[in-house]
Amino acid sequence: MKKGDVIEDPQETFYRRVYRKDKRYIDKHTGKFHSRAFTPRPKDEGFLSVDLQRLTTIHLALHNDPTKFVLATLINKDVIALGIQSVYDPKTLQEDGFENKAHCLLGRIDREDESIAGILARKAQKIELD
Amino acid sequence: MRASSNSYQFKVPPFNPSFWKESTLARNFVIPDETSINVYESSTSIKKLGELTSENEAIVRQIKAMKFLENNWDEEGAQVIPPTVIERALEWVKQANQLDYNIYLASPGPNQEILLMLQEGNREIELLLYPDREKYVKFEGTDFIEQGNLGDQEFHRVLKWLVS
Repeated sequence: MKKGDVIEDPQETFYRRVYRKDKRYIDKHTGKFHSRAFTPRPKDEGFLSVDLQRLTTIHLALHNDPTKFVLATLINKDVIALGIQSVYDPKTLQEDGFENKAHCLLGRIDREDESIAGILARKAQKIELD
Repeated sequence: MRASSNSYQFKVPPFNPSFWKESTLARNFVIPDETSINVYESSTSIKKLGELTSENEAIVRQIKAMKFLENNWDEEGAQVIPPTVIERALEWVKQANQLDYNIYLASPGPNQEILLMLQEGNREIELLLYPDREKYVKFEGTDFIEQGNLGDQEFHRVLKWLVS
């Protein structure tokens, strides 16, 4: 697999790293994610940053800091169903200043489309290490 | 979530706009549709405007605290929440409260937005308030139902859907 390839296998799974301090991206009543956990940042230009599960570990995806982050798992079939793509986007020390062979982008998400973040939040499963 | 009633019952004459004058009563109080016959004959239920339920009071405190968030507050590049967005969020909470609804959840977002969520059973409404736009999204369970621009009319319409 090379940079830019679209991941078409619906069974592939992704990790989305979510900030957990103060439970800001988590519904405190249910412990589930809410939509803001799946909203691209301005710098991401409409793409959601995730890691391909089979190319990483839970600890690596958490940046080895489970006190600060929690993981959401997303299945590619749910991504495909939204009409967006999963694109392989590995990071290298030379080009990006850090290495992440598992990095992928989900998108592109239109800024006017608020449904996708909400749907992903409702489909995602949570992995947290306490 | 539908707010538990925070109206009070007073021994006052039945609501009669020509007697009370719009400027004195309706401007300062909400007159619910139903009048109670159980307290006193001819009593009318009234609720003082601006009196928040304890649930909505907690949401207001959470929203006001968002002004203390600094750039990169989620350590992933989230931006500060502008004061204008905080003010708008507080306005929507007040409006929901006046219509007897509790805001279920309030959260800052990474792109200067505030999320307000309302919930009734397995139906949920997300209100997304950005500096340049306001949107609503409806969900039933995990199913997406509808989204659109948020305005007063849409707000009333989606609240009606929430409890229908």
